[in-house]
Amino acid sequence: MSRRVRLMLFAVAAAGLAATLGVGLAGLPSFGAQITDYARMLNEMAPRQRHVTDVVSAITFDYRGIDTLFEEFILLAAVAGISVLLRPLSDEIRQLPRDKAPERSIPPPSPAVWLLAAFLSSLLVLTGLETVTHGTLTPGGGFQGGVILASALYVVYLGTNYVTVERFQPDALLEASDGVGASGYILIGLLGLLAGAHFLSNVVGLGATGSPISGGTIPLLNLVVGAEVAGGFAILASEFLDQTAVIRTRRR
Amino acid sequence: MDLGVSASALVPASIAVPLAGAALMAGFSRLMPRWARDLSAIAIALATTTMTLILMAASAGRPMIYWFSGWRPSAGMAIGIDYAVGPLGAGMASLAGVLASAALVYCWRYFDSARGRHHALVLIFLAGSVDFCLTGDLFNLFVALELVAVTAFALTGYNAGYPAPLQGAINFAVTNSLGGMTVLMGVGFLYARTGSLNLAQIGQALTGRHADGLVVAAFALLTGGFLVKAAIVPFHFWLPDAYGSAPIPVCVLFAGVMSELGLFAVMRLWVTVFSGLAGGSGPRMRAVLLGFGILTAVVGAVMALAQLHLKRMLAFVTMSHLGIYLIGVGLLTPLGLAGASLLVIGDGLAKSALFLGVGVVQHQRASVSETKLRGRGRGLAVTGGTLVLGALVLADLPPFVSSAGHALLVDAADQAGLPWMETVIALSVIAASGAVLRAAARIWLGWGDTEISRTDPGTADDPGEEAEDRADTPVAERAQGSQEPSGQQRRVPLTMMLPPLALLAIGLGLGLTSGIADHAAAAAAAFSDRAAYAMAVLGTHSGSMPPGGRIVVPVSPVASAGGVLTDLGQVLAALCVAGIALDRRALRFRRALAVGTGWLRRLHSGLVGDQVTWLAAGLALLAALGEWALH
Repeated sequence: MSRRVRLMLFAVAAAGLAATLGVGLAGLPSFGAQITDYARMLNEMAPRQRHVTDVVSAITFDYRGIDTLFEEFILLAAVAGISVLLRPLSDEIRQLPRDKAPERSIPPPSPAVWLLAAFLSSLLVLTGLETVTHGTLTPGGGFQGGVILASALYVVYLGTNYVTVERFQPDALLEASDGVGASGYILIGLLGLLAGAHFLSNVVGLGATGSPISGGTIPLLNLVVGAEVAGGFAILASEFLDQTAVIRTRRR
Repeated sequence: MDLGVSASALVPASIAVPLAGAALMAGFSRLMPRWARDLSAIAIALATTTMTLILMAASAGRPMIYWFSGWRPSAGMAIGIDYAVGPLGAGMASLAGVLASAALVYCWRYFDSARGRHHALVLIFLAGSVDFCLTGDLFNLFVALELVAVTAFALTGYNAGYPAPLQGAINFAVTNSLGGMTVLMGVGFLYARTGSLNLAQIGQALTGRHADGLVVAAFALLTGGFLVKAAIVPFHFWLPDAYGSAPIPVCVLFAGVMSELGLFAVMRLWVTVFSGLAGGSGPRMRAVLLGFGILTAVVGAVMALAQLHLKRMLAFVTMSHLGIYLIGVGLLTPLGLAGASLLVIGDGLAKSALFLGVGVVQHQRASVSETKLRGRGRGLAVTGGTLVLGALVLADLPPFVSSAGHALLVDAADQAGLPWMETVIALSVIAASGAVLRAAARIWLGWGDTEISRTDPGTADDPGEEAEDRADTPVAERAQGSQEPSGQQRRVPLTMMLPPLALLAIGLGLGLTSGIADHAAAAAAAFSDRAAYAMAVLGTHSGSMPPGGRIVVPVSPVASAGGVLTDLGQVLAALCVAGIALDRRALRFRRALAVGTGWLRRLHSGLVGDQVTWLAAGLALLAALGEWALH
């Protein structure tokens, strides 16, 4: 198709599609007009049945826990896929960049930058852990907290250099965290089967509503998801960093 | 209903086992030697296959419903997510398991690097496919679609060092992600209208209602999104690019199950959700689906004949078959669905065997170009036999199982008052099978011309063929350092030779199983029983019960003898097509064909912009047709 034909066909198609979507959108209930029966039911039941104050956590990790299991594996698959695509290929080698002017020493990062990085990264670790562990009480949880935890490593890189940040994140550890987190979700799901109930049934003691340890398996699932997401995002950053910093096309 | 503890535990185990295996393999692949990774991945895939086979047998009577986290519905309202296991879905899942196992065995000597991440990806792909087949929840269906898609994108681009796989993976990812987004929008529309994500409950909420703009939009978005996955014209343009450039073991998974899952979802949605609408017209919907099906079957077959790149040829064969399956399910009768299901199994096994055979050729001769390989088949006799047998099975050679499926499909078309459909199907099947036979004759018998002028039809437009040729040979991966002996001397590893033969043997065994057609018909009838489905899931249903009783498969001895004759005729015709395609005397005829179909080949430009444009056009068309059929 020539560019002109393509644009014309797309214009016609997009107009038809826009009309369809417009009609569909017009059929939606207006904003805030109603919440669905399903949502009303869960809002009402979750605090009572699951001793949580954050209903979203109860939905994602209990009522619809199996969805979240698969979503966790979408992330795992995406990370594994990125690792496959970015791996050093047969015509590439890993090589630390050489300084072009060896007689001139590289200035170390200024103490202010270094201090800021140390401060920020510890703050991020704390915030991440706080978000992971309080998913049943306040908005947040394993997915969000895991991303925050991984971002602590980015700050370490910003404040130092490639060699240092690599020491902070050994690949074996990151992969183990990724794998343990993902398989941990399934192990917690199996607890339900062991207890004679269903897969992912919430069979752990629910605790008192509002206390840090409440909601049964929900905080446990948040912990393993946090481990998986933190490991996964750190692997992602590490792979992209490797690709730009040390993976070079082999000279022929 | 309560199931025995053992059988009901198999339902979650069928996804938990492959997922846990994948997670451990992704996390600890460093600690395992290569053989341990291979062995455990194969064992996990086989275990998953076994579990889904048991589920298929256990759910034969009535659907097995499994509520995750133990949330049963209260007062007809679903709280959690359920799996509604029926024999048809469990059968599809076990097909995925068989193909994943075969692919993993084949990988043993195929992939060399990336530290076994492909094991994890294949296992996750398998788990996603199982989820897709068993789930009873609309949102979970979307999640399964995404899970399968993400693993598929990564596996397609496995040989990232070459431009063709990357381009194929990008086209695949862009179009299928758009498809996923339209599905998500459709889910949103239906949820806003019905307040539920459970398929049975959505269906109950829509029962007896008239379709308005929102429902039509939801229909177009959901069906269109899944038809992208199913590679139905005009949503199909990504398929040759992805299949043509993906590594061979991955092609096996794609050609055997991935696109079929899209059709499965379309049917699941039609049966459980949209078919209960008041004022909706079954005959009109049938016309829509059959139209798409015929178009896809014909376009795929014509394009298959035009390819010289073996993997692209098989890609278009796959596409043509998808059109035939859509004809089968689009008849909207249990018999048509049963025929399509058997064809999916029979053709899926054969196509996978063909891909694996092509992989052996590529591994040994470092090319997948039909003309470059001309006469170079010597020493690969087993593979040649595999390819020819596979091609004949594509033409429904009895007593393979695809022959039984073909017979059911023809019966279903006759019963629906569309006897001419048989001819459409036969022509597509003959052309697709003939294309593969032509390649086999050229490679193993040395028929046809060495140098093919660019105007000769068989001439394929394969941009980047050179680049693709070596793209996924392990030779290329291993190139560094080691001096690879020239392809001619290497022996074919048994792990690459046996899987295709095993797949063909399974197809033969199923075809010889007595009563396979009746089993398929019963499974299809159970799948199509909307009221029983809603009753099993929710414990309640509204709307009229359909007339009960099993559908009867008309298998009179005369009819089946006629079916066998028809199938043999198709096989002969396919051989003739191959002969004509290679005969010097038919050059002028071929040239005329090539000129006549040039425009079609030019449409398959491989440009992602074109593909997205066609996708949008297809969605708009589907919305218009949906308005016509549902309103």
